[in-house]
Amino acid sequence: MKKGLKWIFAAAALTVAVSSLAVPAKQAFAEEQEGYSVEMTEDENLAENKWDWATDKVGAANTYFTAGKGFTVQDFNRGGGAFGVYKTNRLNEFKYSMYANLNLTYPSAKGFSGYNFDYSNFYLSFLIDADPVVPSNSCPWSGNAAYVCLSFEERYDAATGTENDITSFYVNECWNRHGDERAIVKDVRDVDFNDGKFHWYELEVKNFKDTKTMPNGSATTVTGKRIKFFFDGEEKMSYDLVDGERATASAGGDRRYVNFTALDGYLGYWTDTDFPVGALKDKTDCFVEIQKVKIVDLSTGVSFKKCAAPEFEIEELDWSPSECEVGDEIELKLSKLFAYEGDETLAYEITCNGEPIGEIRNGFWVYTPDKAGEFDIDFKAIAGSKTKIAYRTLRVSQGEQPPAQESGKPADGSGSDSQAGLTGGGCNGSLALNFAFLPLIVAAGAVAKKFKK
Amino acid sequence: MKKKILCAVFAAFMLAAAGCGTASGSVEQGSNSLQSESSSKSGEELESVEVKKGYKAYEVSASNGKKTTGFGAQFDTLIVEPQNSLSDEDWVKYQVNVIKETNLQCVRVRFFPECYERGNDNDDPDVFDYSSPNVDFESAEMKQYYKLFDAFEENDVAVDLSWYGCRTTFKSQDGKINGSWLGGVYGQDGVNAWSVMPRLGANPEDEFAESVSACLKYLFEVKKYTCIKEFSIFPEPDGMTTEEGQFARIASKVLKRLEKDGIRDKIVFSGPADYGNNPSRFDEMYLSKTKFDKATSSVYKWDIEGYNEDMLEFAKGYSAVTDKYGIPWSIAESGTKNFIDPVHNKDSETYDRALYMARFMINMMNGGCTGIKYFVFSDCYYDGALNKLGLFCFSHENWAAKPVFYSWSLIMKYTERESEIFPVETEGDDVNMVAFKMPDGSWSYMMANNGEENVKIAVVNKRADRPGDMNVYKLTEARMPENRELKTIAKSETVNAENGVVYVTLPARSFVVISDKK
Repeated sequence: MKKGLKWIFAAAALTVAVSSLAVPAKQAFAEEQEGYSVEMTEDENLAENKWDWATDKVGAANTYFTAGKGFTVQDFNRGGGAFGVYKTNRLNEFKYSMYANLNLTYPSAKGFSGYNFDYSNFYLSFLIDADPVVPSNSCPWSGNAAYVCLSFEERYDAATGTENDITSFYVNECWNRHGDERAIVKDVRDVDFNDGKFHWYELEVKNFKDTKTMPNGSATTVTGKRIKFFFDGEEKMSYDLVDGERATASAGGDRRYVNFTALDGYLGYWTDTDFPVGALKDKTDCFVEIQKVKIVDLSTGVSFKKCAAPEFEIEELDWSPSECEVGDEIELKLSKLFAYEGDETLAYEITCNGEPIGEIRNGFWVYTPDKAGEFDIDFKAIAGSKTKIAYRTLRVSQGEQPPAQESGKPADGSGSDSQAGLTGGGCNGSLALNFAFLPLIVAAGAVAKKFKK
Repeated sequence: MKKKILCAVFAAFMLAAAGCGTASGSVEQGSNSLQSESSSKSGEELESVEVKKGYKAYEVSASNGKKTTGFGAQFDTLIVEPQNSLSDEDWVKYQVNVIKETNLQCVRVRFFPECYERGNDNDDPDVFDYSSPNVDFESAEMKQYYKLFDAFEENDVAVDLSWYGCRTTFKSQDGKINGSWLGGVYGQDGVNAWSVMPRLGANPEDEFAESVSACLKYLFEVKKYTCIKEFSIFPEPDGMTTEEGQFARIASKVLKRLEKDGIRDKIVFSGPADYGNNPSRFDEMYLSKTKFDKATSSVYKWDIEGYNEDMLEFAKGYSAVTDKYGIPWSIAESGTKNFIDPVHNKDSETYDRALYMARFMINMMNGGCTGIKYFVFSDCYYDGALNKLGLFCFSHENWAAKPVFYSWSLIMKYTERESEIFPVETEGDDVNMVAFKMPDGSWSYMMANNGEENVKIAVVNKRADRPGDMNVYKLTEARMPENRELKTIAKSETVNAENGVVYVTLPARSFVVISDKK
């Protein structure tokens, strides 16, 4: 069973109250908790707009957007993680507010063995200095762009028999293009995030300029970015990224000047865990649900709004059907003719001279021409109110028709072409010849009759 | 006079009737070189056959002297373990019935000594104590094996019982056993692999040999299973041991023990299921050192982009070395090279995979291979991880057939074990073909077109034992059932091969089977 520390409630304008509503770990998108809350309009809730995010994955991990309910990150294991980045705006000074359920479990709790470390992580990365930015840049050593990470780690310590919720600031040596050189600069263990409930996670990043008195009494100006983490409205950690020379551990001790004040970048997330390869959410119960995200630009005080969903048009591709022959069933893959990036599934209408022709199966247009010639086919793709018509000419040649091969059936008028007929040997063809003599027989009969008379 | 006229008519009639027997001399010339000089019904060999203009002729003529050892899949007890929560009803509906529907011919089943010998029976590796409290052939694990074996026995599925090794992550379902008495416990004493070679105790390799033989003896003589035709040990041994000669040494001990126990002649020893893709090394490391009855490989070398000629050369290389030893070569597990992780491929759900497996089979058979098992039969949880490499999905995805189900089931359904193999030479890299003659005399022609255009072919078979009426089964991406039901593709037409030739148009990117197998 989980052992957690009790919260210490600070006297503040906003009082944090633990909701009495117990939200089971598997219940997604629970009711908002009473108490601390971040007001936001629907237009400010960036979690609901997939167009603001670029996501990617390795292995089975994935990010799923659910209309009206934000997104879920799940199915991450040692075989791969999920990555995402808020790609619409670079951020310099900002406040990021996220309403989420971090349901991070660890392997031994779910009956798994064969792990090296008994943990799972969810990271928020920020000041991701990359252009263009890709989702994997959220991981500090992928592209060496993510200068800072806020990590939430659920780890089981077998030696002490305790579960630990560890919240940490990592500073990653991206100025040296060595994002894998990371240092935990601050961590706390009293953020009880892994209780199966939704909480407010907030990150504030602001430039500061302080005057510091040196030991010799002189004053010096210290600048940089001050980062703060809040949990349900309560400040939990603060750290100053001070402008100045930074050591580069991996480059033999060289020092480089890092200007955090000027640094801006993207914000994203990524996952990490020691659940074995192939382990999915239904067995690990390890996932993150993010229902609300609001980002305020602190330099202007204005919050970012959802970006407009891109307008996608149905694109006609440069492809034409090959010539075919009478009687050959042709199958044309419609995705070779039309491309569409929107959410709607393309529907199709295919006509020739205004009449439907062929059928649609498994995304293919299937048709068996029964006569030779050139046929103008209208391929129409439909996505909601959008349509696109591709005009193509289908050329059908007569081709060499094989002899009828159905068992017991004669050739279809192909006469000497038939190998089931005359050349079959014996008297297969003799019936026709016999009928040729019928008039003679009749004539003989008539003659006989005549003579009889 | 009347009589004379009637006689004249009659005589004319008889002359005409007699003339029928010689009317066959006039045959249209085709553009191909196979010109008819005489014709006969099935039952007599044809001297030559005319092929219609516009059709490329491929001839089925001679067997390569080899017979198939079977087409099948990996099939493990995990599907009936508690982790997969399969009801008895679903076991029958979605596993046993599919075995029947597809004519699954052979399986490999992973196996471990811990399943029945939960601790050492005794310290004497020469005498197995069946009554030892450490031996339980009715353990929960063994009952799961019997569930599978019963289904295989009923449906004539040949089993390769494969001792993967000593399972260090073994946790018995009754909660009493943890790890392997022969291999150790995962995570302890430097053990960092889930399955290892026997390593603990005074005589680990002899104990292992004893265990294998004792188990097989029990399965044959007490449980009376006849479906267990084959056994193997430590498949993919390169990943199990780096000690040179260890595999051969243990194999030798096992075979000697089988002889001592009087069961050596009851079972085929196959292996090593190498993944080296190197016939010379295959010979040097394994075939020259171990007396296999059948040689096997694990092959995941290509995908749909692979060239037929490369696959064919690969197969020829392997069968050349196994031919030296007079043993057949087959493929113990297969799929494509597109692994995301051990239980996910990028192309698991694609038609590309379906078409690739058909092309792969044809190339392997043409190159001298005798059998192939696909990895795995159906999706299910493997030790907590959902294995998505199956021919069809698991219950939470409604047991939907994947595209590869449709190609692989055609292959299994229209062949049988011990079918004669007739390699067919084709031109170009788009089309390849192989033919099989089943033990009952029926035939299957199997051909794949990997190109983007239809191809018209004429399959010529002038042999006296050629088939008559044959059914045509065509698989294309468009023709797969949209409801993804677990049924093999239905026939699309019937053709007659009595006169030595059948014509078929291979659609673009298709797999076509023409068969008179019932």
